[in-house]
Amino acid sequence: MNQKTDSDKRGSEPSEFSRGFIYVMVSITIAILILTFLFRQYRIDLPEFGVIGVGSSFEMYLGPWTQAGAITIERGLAEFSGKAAALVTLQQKLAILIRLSILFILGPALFFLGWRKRIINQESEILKSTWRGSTLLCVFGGILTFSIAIQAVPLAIIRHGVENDLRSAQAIAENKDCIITDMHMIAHDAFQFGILPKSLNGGNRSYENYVLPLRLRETANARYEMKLLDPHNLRIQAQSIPYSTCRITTHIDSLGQTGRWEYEGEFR
Amino acid sequence: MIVIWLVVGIIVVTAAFFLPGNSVEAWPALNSAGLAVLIYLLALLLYTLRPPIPRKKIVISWILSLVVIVAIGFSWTGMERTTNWQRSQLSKIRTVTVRSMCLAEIPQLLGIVSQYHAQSPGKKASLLELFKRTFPETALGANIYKPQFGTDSLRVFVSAFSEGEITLIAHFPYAKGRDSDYVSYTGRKGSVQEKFILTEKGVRHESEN
Repeated sequence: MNQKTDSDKRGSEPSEFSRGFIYVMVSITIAILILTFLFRQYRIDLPEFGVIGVGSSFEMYLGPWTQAGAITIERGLAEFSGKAAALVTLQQKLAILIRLSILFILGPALFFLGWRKRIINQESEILKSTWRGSTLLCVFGGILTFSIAIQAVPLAIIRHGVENDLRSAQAIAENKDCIITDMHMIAHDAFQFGILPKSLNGGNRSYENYVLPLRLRETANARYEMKLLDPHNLRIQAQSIPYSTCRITTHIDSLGQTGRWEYEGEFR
Repeated sequence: MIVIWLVVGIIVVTAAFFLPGNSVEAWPALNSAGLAVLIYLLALLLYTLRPPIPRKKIVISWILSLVVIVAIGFSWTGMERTTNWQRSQLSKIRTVTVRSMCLAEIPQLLGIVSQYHAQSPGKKASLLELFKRTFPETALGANIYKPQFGTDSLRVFVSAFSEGEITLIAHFPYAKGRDSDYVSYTGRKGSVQEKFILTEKGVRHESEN
């Protein structure tokens, strides 16, 4: 009498893990172990592959446009320092291309194609319960894809707000700088009046009778008012034209030097 | 199939990336590759989001994908616009800064005028003599400015002089002036240049570029 079990009638149970899954799992594990060993043993500092000013643990999630933007700022700073802008290096280009390829080619391709394959395989009851190598690749692709997709909308909204704030702050700072330059010009003009003798329509070592010239009473930046505190000291006040709540006050001494600057409104 | 998609995608994007050639900016290459990536992603979505995937999942996936693509597009173009604006602002700030540096020379010149008028009527040195005492290296075309720091590229040239009048040209070669075609005292085009004319009546300032 042959004793047969139920399992003998149906054939061998399908493995929970397909052969491809095991191969991919083992390959990834070995690759990570090797890379971990290499990076721990041989530290590699590759600034071209990073984003200037950003910590290395975060920058892997930033898009390649962030790298390109960092290069643009770097060029601007070089020009500010009086240096000519250099061509983008091959290392910088490769860093951008690698990041672009990983986030927008590798990730989406693995995720969508792997997802589609799983849905097709789910029609088979046997394959439904089988972990395959494509599953791992799909998960890996999903991590890459979602790492950029999840933050896309919030970042776009935040970035828009930041850009508006930046432009507004810069416009105010520019107006402030221009007003300060104008006030220095007034100081020079007042000092020049003070040092000239009366025969040349000057003040003969005094600011008495000094009047702000027409060209310095109002500019595109501000309106200026002068008050004589004593024969050797003036107070100049500037009222910003584009920003009505912003004012700057300064004092001019007998040597034509400005001091005791006071800032009001958004100029503070 | 996955391998084919990956290989084709990488080849197309790489070719598009290197198409614009060398540049001081990364944006031409990145934008070219970005266009290739957009076409690739749309083709990938068209290929994968179809039956036997359930219709409901297809619709939701398309909507989410398009929302993400548009959001990334906004971030991408916004970053390019913002960083280019920041770069131009740095150039503007530099121009304002160097003009202020040029104007900062005025007090020293006014000091010479002050010395001139402070002299007793009997023994009066000329304006030029007093100027040469302050700037011994005075000669036609000479640079009388001493750099204040390593990358200080300001130059102040004596472009003309007589006993009662000295003309100075302050030139900053690496700062952009108002007119990019303006030829400066040194022959360089487009850079900041200020003129100061020193007489017994004071300092007249003309912003040339």
